Amino acid sequence: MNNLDFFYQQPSPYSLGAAEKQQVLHSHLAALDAHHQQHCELYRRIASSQTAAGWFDQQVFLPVRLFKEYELKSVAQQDVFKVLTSSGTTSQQVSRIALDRETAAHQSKVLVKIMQHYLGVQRLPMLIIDHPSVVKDRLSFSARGAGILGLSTFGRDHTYALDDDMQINLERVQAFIAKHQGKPVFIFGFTFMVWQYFFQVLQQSGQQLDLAGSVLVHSGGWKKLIDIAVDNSVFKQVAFATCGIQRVHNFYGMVEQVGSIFVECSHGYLHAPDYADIDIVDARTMQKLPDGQQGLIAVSSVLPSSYPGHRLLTEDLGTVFGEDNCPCGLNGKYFHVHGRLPKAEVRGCSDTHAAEVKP
Amino acid sequence: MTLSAIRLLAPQQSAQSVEFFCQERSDLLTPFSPAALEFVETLSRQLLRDPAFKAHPEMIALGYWLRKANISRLAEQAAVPTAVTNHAVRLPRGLVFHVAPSNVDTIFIYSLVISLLMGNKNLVRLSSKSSAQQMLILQVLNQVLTELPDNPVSHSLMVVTYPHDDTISRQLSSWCDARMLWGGDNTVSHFSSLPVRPTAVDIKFANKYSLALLSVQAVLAADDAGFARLVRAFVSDTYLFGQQACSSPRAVCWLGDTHMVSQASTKFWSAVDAAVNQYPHGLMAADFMQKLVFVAEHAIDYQSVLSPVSSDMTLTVLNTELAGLIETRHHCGRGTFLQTAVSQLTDLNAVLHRGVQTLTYFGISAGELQTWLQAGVPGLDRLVPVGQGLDFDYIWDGVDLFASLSRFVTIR
Repeated sequence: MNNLDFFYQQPSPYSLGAAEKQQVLHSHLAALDAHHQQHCELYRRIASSQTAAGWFDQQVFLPVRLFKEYELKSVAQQDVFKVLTSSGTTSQQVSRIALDRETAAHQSKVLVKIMQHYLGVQRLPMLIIDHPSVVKDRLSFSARGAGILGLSTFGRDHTYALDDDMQINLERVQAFIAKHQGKPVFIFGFTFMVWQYFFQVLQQSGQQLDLAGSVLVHSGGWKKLIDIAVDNSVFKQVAFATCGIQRVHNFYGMVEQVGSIFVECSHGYLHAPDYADIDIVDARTMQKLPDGQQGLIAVSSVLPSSYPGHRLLTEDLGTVFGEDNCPCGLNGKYFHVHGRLPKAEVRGCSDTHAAEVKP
Repeated sequence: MTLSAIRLLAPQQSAQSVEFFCQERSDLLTPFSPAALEFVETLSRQLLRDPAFKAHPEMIALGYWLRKANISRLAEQAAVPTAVTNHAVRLPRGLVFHVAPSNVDTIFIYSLVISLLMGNKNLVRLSSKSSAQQMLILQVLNQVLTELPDNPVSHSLMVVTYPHDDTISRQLSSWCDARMLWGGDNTVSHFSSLPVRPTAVDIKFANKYSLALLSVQAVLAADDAGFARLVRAFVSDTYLFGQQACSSPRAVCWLGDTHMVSQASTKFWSAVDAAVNQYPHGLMAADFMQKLVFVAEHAIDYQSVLSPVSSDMTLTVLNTELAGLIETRHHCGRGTFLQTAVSQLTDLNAVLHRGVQTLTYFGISAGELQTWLQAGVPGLDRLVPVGQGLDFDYIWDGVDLFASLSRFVTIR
């Protein structure tokens, strides 16, 4: 029922100009609003409440945290094909995202469209900056493991750069480089892992690897790197200095909106693809902010029809710089993510310090 | 872990070991001793004199509460009737072990002061997490201890901290004659599971929920000055500790003609909205996010709907059915109010329970409230006019602290 053919027929995932996108994307999202109101009672209740306050230009954005507390789905239980889970960063609670076959298929298809834009249609030899055990234990699958498996479909000859003790296996990496000498290679890892266990180790030991011509894709957030004063430009400098890597694409995505990810362009901005949009929201007024101002990131996606995750308010801070006029030439809004919203101070006598008590 | 992990915070140095301090009973004072009165007066003076406290209204309030005039008034209120003193003598219990709330609030100082006024020795355990307020409290206590080196109270008080450790907590609990537990439900339950001696008592202050009751007619009829006072008083009851003190009202119930509720509510909330935006509430983006989540949770659980009365997230009002008025599981405070209306007081009985502490009221006569209470209500510990929500009283959560922290010896 969630027909995305119009989007799939575009020549690239960054084809739609602002005016057309506004019309197409927003009528599609409005249809999803109505769909979820009709099929998810919990969503309908939240929507009734939010709409009364007139927030976000009357659009309803669910706080992502709700997926950790409630089973929000718009399909019957027998149509749930798969439940995606993520580890929570603030608690042991995990998000549970119910997918039916249709939503799952859209997620895979859109991810392919977006990744192929950067990697080409051929599967490239793939170097994974992690250790192989991260995907071995399928019962206790981490978000990291799931991410690696998801991206692995875009590569071949999958080679893990690290051993289980997180040391670089230079012999293996060198053999991989030698085998694919002169051909483009796809490198993937989580931002912090790539920095800590790969670039920094190479930098400190003065070793150089010849990975020129390869594409590095990484994700997972900058929080730990910001704490040690490493930003995107430092990251890229070191990628070039240690490995000769010139094409680096960070991406921003979340388990609550798999597929329509926001990938960093050649000019260092994350871009909204045709399937998705981004807005910056002022937490105090719950209204959208103009370009250039920092606020909470709200993400929209045309993919989710089995769960009401088409418009979400994240707890990440970001700034949108413009739409359709990024120097990289791609259409869509382009933005930066600044990190997580700082935690609120706890006062009073409520039980928020339960962790203080030993079990 | 052994007792050596205990760190002494006040006094900064002591000739007594914690072990000796806790077991020695020869140095108990008698209720309202001149030494205790001098100690409390000095503490009050320090709090009111030190400019560092000017920025902390709760510290100033504490300073005023500790003043000589108020303590004398309390002593009168707590005085034992002659019919009892004819055949009974009041004495301290002995050692009182105070477990302060982990996020330091001034509230445990109130019970500490009542305890030392009754002549008890006091051991206070503060959370190992240090905060600016905790530092200020310790600083002022240590000043008093230095200023009064010969006052016996200075030698019968120890403030300590130690890492979460059951061995230590168990040992200290085994020595005390009364244990005062402040904190969340988990902390209180956990400490309760560590035994005190059979002759000792536990006094527990766990999580509580509070609400405001406003008369529809009174709000509509209030003159400008009276209405402005009401709004100011309501805002300070609710925004002072980010609406997270147990006594901060988290819900507003309207009483009166149901046809007039929406008019009274609009008048009230638009004034509160203007007032909170002038108030140093300290709410930030993360607080607003918490509120957004609660709005959704409450809508899911009770089908409540946001009221458009507020200009932004500093004030959040949710219209709910009576059943959704008392929500103790998710309520995040931070300027969030569940609102409903009843046409008579007894309607509230359906939702009150022992977890409901304070009802602040406006425009309802004491007589009317008395009649309601006397017929029996399933919850509530205190009813005070709007504006006095955060004031401390020696009767707290239904417990007379003077009585609980002393014992009677009868003589016939």
